[in-house]
Amino acid sequence: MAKRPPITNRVKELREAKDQMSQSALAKEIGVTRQTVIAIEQGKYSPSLESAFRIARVFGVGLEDVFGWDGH
Amino acid sequence: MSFWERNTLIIGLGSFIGGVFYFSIVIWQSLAAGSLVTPSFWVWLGYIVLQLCVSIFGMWFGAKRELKDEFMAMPGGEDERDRLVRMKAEGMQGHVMSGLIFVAMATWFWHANTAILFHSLVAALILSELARAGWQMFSYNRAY
Repeated sequence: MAKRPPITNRVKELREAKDQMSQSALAKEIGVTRQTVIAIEQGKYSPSLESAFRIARVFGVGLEDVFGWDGH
Repeated sequence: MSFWERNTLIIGLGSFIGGVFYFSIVIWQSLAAGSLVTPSFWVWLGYIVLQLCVSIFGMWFGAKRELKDEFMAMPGGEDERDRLVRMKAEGMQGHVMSGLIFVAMATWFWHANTAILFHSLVAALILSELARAGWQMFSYNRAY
């Protein structure tokens, strides 16, 4: 089993706080598929820097309010 | 399961069915003849047609069911994760194919037999395609 990347995120929490925004709607906003949003929320995929900025902009917060570093 | 994940599975299935068809005929004919049979154009064509038919029909059927607008908006119909996973899988396919072709060519020095060489190359094509599909499916479901 592959080790998960040490990047944490609050995408699901922020999405639900934004009027229960759907995964499909978020996917459309940032230009990825719904499956990729699911993978990001589950911590299975670390998005590119461009997508990370797009996600932060959708929620109107800074990059570090969405993503965190859980490693050493 | 995403659109590309399903397509990968279908193409892998096409390679598997085509490969089973090809080698079951080669093995059956070789056992009947008592030695390895020479390559047959029609068996080889049958393998190609079977693989293409399974892949094209499966992808067409999958595309009919999928929400196409989501993919049409993206360059090449893939997003960044699809592209990354495909590139990793294609890298794996290249390694497997070159390794198997190297083995097939090396076998020539022990058995200078065109039938062995031809069947080995068909096996290299099928196995590398299966490796690509398998690695792509695995990559879609692993964390990285």
